[in-house]
Amino acid sequence: MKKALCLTAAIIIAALLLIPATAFAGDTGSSVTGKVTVWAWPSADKAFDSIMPGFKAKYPGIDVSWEMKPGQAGGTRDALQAALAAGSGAPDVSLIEVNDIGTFALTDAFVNLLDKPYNAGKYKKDFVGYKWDLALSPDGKLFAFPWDIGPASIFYRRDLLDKAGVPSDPAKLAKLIRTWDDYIQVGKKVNDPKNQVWWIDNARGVPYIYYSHKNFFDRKMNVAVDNPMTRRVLAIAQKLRNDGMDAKSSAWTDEWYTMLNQGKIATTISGCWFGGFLKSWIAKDTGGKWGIIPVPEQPLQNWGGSFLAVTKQSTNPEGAWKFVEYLCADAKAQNMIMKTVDYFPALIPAWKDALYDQPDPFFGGQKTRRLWADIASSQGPFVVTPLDAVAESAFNVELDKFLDQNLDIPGTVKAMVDAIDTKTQADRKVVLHLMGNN
Amino acid sequence: MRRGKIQAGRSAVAYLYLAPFIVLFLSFGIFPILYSLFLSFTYWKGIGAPIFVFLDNYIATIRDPTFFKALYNTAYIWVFAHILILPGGFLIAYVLNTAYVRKKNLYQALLFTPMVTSTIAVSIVFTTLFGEKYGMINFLLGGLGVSPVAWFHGTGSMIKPVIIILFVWKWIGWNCVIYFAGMQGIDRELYECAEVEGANKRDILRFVTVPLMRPIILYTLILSFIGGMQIFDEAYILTGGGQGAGYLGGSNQGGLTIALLIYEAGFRRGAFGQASAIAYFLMIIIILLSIFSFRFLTERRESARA
Repeated sequence: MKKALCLTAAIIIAALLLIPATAFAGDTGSSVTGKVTVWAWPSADKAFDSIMPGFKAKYPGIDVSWEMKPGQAGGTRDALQAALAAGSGAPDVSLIEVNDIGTFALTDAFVNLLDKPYNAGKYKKDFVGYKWDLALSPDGKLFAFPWDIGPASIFYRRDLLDKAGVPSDPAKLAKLIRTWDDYIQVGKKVNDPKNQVWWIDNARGVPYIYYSHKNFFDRKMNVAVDNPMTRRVLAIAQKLRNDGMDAKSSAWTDEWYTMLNQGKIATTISGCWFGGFLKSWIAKDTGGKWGIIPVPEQPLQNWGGSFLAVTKQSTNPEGAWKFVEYLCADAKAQNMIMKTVDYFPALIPAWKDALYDQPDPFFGGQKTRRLWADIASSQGPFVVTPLDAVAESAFNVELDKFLDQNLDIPGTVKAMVDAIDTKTQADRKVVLHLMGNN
Repeated sequence: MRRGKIQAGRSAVAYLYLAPFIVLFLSFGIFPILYSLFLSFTYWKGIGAPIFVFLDNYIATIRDPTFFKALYNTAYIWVFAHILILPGGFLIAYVLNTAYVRKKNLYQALLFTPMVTSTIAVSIVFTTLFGEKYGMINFLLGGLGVSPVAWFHGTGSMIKPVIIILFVWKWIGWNCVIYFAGMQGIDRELYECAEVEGANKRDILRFVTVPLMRPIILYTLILSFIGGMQIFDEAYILTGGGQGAGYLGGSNQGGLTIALLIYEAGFRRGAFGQASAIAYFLMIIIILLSIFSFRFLTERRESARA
């Protein structure tokens, strides 16, 4: 009896001694271990490869593996939604594109990174404000972590401007084009449809960038599209269209790629990643012929970007967070990714690197990265909500109608407001409810 | 009693053989149909519990002008496509059926070939074919002196003709083959009797072939109605489904069909409840119109007998 009692006591004491040991395993940084699975789409795999050496050095115990989902961002989102709905099969970490971040904001399927032990709140000041806001759910949870942004600018062809006698140096051109009226004036000199040169690929680009995933609603979730700024950009777009200055080419079609490659389009408004696209597959042989200037009147523009989120289904959320934290919040890692795949960091401290002052030969030696960093830190209205993706669709349908059928502006603005209202009705109730509980 | 037991034994084995199909049919056929009826009364984003909103989704659908636009588009495409497919297929089959045509099998095979192509692949080819600046069609039209047509842009009114052309190209062979098979089943003697009675070719067509083909015509009509109302692939690819942020339905939503609207609600907006409601609206419309056309065609037969 006594022997049994002693034995039991010994076992209990041994067990009690082991508990603190296991607690330690989760506490200190470099002793976090385990597997972490990631879902993403190309070229994220190249990005992951580039940072693995640094990551392994810091966290030797964490084994990261990734799966590139077919169908790019949309395919990854579909796979993720299916796994989340099924309650199992989701990865520890998933890449989410800005168009889908709104859908996921309304689900409760991701870990709130503001909680302990992640404490991601300490990074808030290091990230571009609008990007951080996008990663917050209406009830204040940080359900994703910012990776890259897409500061948008006007991409222009230096050779086409030179031919028309317009200064093609970016600094000079930016001074010349301070307003949209200036843009049209300069454009008239370059636009030459008889010789197959158009000033802009599609007039819709101007209103589109103003409402690229932002400013559809005010902070109280009322539709905010009916304002003087909207009317101005619609008027500018209509003038571009009616004066024959746009090629009426739809982006991402074969026709569009051909026209860009053959130098038939003088300017297009796009995100910084567009440079990478031009270099690698759209217009490989046009090196040295491009330049960028900020969007006039409101330089703070963004197109695209993505986030990494840790799913609640994850069995190793701490390991997952270490991976996410290293990739997104470490300046060296972000710049390594920038060098490899041109994903522009949302992390402000990363921009201090000399990398951003390197001239880019494809852009005639312009220091494009520094300009994009400046664009991302400029001031301007930028209200984001989970409903922006749906609102953007509704807005753009009306925008296309407006340009294609030459409709009037007041009617179009009303149609936009109505369309956005109809499509986001049900979701808005949910968002307001979540905000109310905050 | 003994016979009953053997019968029961035989029935049990029969059910066992049927079981795999029944299980799969119930889980992948019946269950989704019933569950989406349930979903149509809820708000559900795919994750978490559905929230009851009763008739909100149905009311929202009626309030949405794009729903009626999609109905109009779908009906427009169906009507014009089938004006070409059904009578056209019938006439082609009739011509094939005559004695003058040799190599009937060759023509049948050629007509049927579009059916075995991938709709998606062909749709992608069509987007290039009908491209405004570099498309083959506009090139040919230019040769005829016609200025380039904005097939996918402008008011979006040319999108439906492209969808119709694609749809007719694909499905005319199918209906043709069915009609041809039906006509082969008509006894030659009936034609000879009619000719003896003094009927010309047109009368034979009107009074012999068509009435005898009525059940088959009804069959193709209903099948093509059900299929045509659900048209998705062609509209999706032709109006930017694969391209970036494609706004489904194209310019002015000229190519927006009901199925596309369901897809947009369900998979682009994550509003599964809404999508289910639209799907049930579509189902009700198809059922009502099918019953109507069924009554319409069978009534006439009875009056013909009287």
